[in-house]
Amino acid sequence: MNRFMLGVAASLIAVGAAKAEDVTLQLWTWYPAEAVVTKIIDGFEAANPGVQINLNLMESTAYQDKMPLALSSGDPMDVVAVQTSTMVNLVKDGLEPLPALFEANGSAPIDTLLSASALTQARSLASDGELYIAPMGVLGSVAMYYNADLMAELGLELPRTRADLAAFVATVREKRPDLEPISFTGANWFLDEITLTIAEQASPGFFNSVRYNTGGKWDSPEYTKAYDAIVGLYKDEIFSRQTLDLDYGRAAELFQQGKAVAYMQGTWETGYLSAPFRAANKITLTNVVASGLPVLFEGAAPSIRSFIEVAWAVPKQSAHKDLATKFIEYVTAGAGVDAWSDTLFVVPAKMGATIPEGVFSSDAAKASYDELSALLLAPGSDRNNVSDFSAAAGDAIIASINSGTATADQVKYLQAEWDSGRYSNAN
Amino acid sequence: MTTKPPLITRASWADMAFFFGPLVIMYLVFYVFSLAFLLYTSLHRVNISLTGGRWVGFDNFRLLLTDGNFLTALANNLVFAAVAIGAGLTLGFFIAVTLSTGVRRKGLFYVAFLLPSLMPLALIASVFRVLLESRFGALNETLRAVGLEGLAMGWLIEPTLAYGVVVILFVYLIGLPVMYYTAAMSTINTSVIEAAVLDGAGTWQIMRQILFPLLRATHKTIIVSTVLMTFRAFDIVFFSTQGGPSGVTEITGTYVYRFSTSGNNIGYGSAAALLVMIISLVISIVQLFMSRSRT
Repeated sequence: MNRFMLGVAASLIAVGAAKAEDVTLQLWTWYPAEAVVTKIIDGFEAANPGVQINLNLMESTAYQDKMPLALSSGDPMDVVAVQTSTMVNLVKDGLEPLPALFEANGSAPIDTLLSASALTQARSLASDGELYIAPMGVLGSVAMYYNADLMAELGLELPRTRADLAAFVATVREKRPDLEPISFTGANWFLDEITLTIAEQASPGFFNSVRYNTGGKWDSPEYTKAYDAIVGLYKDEIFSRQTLDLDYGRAAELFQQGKAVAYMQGTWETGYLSAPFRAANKITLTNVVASGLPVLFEGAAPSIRSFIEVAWAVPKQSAHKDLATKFIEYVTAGAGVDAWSDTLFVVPAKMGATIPEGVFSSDAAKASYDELSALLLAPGSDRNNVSDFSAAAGDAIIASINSGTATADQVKYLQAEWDSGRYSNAN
Repeated sequence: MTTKPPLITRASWADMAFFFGPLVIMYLVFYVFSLAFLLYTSLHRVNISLTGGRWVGFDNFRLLLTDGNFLTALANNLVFAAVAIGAGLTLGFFIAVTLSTGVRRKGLFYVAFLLPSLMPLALIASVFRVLLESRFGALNETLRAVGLEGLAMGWLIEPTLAYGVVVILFVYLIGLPVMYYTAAMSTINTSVIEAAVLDGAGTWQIMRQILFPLLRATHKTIIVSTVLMTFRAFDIVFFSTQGGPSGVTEITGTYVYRFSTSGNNIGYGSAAALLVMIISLVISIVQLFMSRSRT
């Protein structure tokens, strides 16, 4: 009996010891979608026996309210996702600087794991210039997506210049008048995105010079040229005025239904290039390729403004900073990247990242992705928009398209609005 | 026989606290605190975190009152209100009177007029948006199909047409005035109408000189509720034209939304919301006083 009791006691002690080694990390995020986050977590847990991750996933707007509150209240949190916006400054006092954590617990310094431009943007979001967040990747605008099957039917090539684009549109209108040549939302903010993309083609760094108050002006020759260019695209009917009443969803729908040959949006729509993404979202397109916006000026170069999206951080209150750092390295720069990179929502910030096999249905789609990636990882300017001013700029452009309001008047008006103090750019 | 004093004077403070307390607390939180918070943020430059705000005094209000877009939005509110009131007092009145005369299948007509007012405004506005789409919208596709391509226009693209669409949407919500008039007419003493008929009054005379004056209280209700409705009609504009093109159809609701959701300038959005609240309150009070002085 005594031996039996001793045996039971020994077993209990062994189980207790094993349980004491198990660690549960509290993970807070709003993105990616649950199925993708679960895949990431499963992969990390499989690679780290004894580590469990408890997921706290909520919708973006709710996350903006709850995470900062939970952080300041000292709730148990080990890894938190941070929105790459003013949220960084809001929560940075509760976060650990990452370089030191990676030195102590990572496989390499963080500067050698993630792209330099992504880390520069991450540092710029904190008022003290410290690196508190590790971004998953970058996205930007504007990109163009093409229904490759329709292009083949119409004998079209990817347009690379304004003349190519004009010929592209003319061919579609002539041979298939039932189709919209280029579908995109006519929302004011998106017309502003297009105009800034055009400006960056001829004057890389223009937007940053205005955004960060380093001498750029809205009533400058650089912006005036871009403004005239977009109004000219409508005047010459390369862009159709009939798209001005399309909202975001409707423009996408037209492309997905095969009623538009091309679709213009940000690179967050790059999932169209992915065969698994199309299948999962019941999109019947079979072959999609992409490119940057065709170059509108002689001597200019393709450009996409980009910025980091979805970043991860370690709260100061974490009791498992070593494992938290390992998780962040796993999801941003390690094997975990393969769990989400096939969504193509962002181009991974991981140095030398590749997309898993089977994502692209053609070599042309892969080449498109490589083209967009290259543009995103070497942006002329940050896509760090002032959204209330963006709406005003877009409205000015629409007024010029609809009513012929002179460019000179509009750019002067926009500069006055920018200086007024009314918008989020003012201190 | 002795009469008991009213219950309210017999109730103790404890009873009153028990029954009225929850309501008072809700009022304090959702009205008084919200108002105080709005006032606080409107006097500061503050971002969406609502912390670290910088005192700017009345600067937000100064910027607001010097913004042509805000003044346009305010003017649009008043124009849409005037149109909705005009439609309610004329068309709504006429429909209510006609349906009360014993029209066959009037139940169907009541449903047809009331249904838009009872459905979510966002849904109605979204449906209109899809119907009126320039390229593939049902209206233009139908016009093209019957050979009337010349009439297939940019309903939501041309500023004047987009303005007309929003006006039509406000008029489309005629159901509530119809309902108010129908309810009010059920309380009218029919002997007044009978006497007028016996005296040889025609239909138009009865409507204009007897019914319309008798329903003065209902006119007041419709005017006040319609004015307040247009200041809250964010859904109608946001889901149809989004305030465009170029802010032509913007109302104060969509204007406040734009600045309050941008993230960095919540104080400015708060100032706009507060000013709109004050303006709509003043309009309501003026209208009530004017109505009272007439009676």
